[in-house]
Amino acid sequence: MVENDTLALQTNNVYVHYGSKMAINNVAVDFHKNQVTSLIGPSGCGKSTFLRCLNRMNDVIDICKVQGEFHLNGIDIYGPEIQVENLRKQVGMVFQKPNPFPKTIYENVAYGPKIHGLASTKSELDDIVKDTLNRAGLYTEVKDRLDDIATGLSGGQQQRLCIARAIAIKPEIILMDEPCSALDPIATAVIEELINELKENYTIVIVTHSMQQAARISDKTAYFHLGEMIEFGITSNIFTNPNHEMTEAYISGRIG
Amino acid sequence: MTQHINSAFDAGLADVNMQIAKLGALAETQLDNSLTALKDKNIKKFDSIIERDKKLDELTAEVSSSVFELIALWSPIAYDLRSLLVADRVGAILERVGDYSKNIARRSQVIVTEESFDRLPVNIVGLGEHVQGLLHRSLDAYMENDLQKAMNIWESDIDTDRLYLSIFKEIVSYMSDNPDDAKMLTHMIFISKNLERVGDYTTSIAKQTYFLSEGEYPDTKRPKAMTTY
Ligand SMILES: Nc1ncnc2c1ncn2[C@@H]1O[C@H](COP(=O)(O)OP(=O)(O)OP(=O)(O)O)[C@@H](O)[C@H]1O
Ligand SMILES: [Mg+2]
Repeated sequence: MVENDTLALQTNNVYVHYGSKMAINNVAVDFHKNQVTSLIGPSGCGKSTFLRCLNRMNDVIDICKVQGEFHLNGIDIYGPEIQVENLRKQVGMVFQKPNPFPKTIYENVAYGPKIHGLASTKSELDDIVKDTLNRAGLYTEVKDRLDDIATGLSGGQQQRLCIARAIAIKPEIILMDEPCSALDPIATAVIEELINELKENYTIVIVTHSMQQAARISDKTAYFHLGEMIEFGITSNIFTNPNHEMTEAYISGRIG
Repeated sequence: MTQHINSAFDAGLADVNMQIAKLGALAETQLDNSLTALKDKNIKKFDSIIERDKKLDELTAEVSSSVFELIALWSPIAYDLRSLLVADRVGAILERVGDYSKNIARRSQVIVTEESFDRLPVNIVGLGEHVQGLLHRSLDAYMENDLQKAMNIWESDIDTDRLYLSIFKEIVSYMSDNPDDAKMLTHMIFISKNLERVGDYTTSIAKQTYFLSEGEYPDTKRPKAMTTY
């Protein structure tokens, strides 16, 4: 497999400032199609900041200035002709805290496909909702209560619903910012298994504080420290024999 | 490498190192005792060597269960994981070294009382001392995490092979002239072979030391003097 053919998202020379404070300092990462890439590093090192650059979520933060190259399938996502709504359809996001809309389970999933015109009839929409909930591993648990308010679901179910909402609009890339940090080990394992299945069709970038999670689910891992990317490589190498001492210290809980 | 934020894990690792140090010291003592008893024809000593092998087995089991527990509780990765895997393997190697020392003691017990024992030209003790040196140096290399020392062991295994080979040839040629001594000579071949195996194990310790430090195994093929004796 020629790796270049399989690139989903390329970034280069990325700098991010909040006002005068630098949060990302000259970072470059390439994300490959159908791979899971983990971003790890100590709190405040810039993982979320970098992740938010990938679907321009930082645009809404006034003091945040993003510089650098971001190419999705070769197209500059910060280019003048890019419509942010369309970009976010291609690059979906799942947050740390499950944040379903205070609406029914059905509507949470149906909302995106509806506004993006992915269904022309009610029965098409029904199919999309059912199929998506299935792929998110939630359908059997909620099929009898699709009209219940989503906020009544358990945390793990809500998170899977948010993943369903993200994949309902058929993005290419799914960004996840600590999606399991509020979940118990079983719910976490369910989401991890789901991520593993989703990568058949999607490219996934995940921020996680769990080293074991990064090791279990990702193909590539990037280690960030104070806004810089210290090491990027194949996950099994990073966790068995990292090149950089700072990476080793961080992943093995040593005083850096 | 720096300390862990969780000092309890460091304490666990230090414990395992202590256990290995004890185990290594005991394995060295066992080998030394069996060689000394052979040299001195100290028939009384062999039983205690054979008896003390149990202690070695116990210590090895202790290392194993400490390693198992640390892995289960701390999910170590990278260097930490390697250091525990290697400790467990070195423990197992030292147990084997102990078994060979015991076997040497058993066989020696039989042959030192033979009246022709003293007339034999065979320099088993020389091979034994060579291997003892290797064992000591390989344990040093491991305990000090010294890559260079480890590689020197790796390369000097060929000397063990040569020494063993010359002893083997000597015994075989002696055997054809002295068929009555065949049983004793056979024991001697086994004793030499045991020592040669201990030599092999010291290169395994060196190899593990390399793995601990580098995260991969040395890829150079070890020089060999022979393969089939
Ligand atoms: N909206 C903001 N305004 C100002 N500074 C910010 C803002 N968001 C983040 N920062 C700063 O940018 C740096 C990187 O923050 P970021 O949230 O990206 O870190 P992180 O790696 O995601 O940390 P965590 O693991 O705690 O979520 C931090 O110093 C943070 O204080
Ligand atoms: Mg964050």
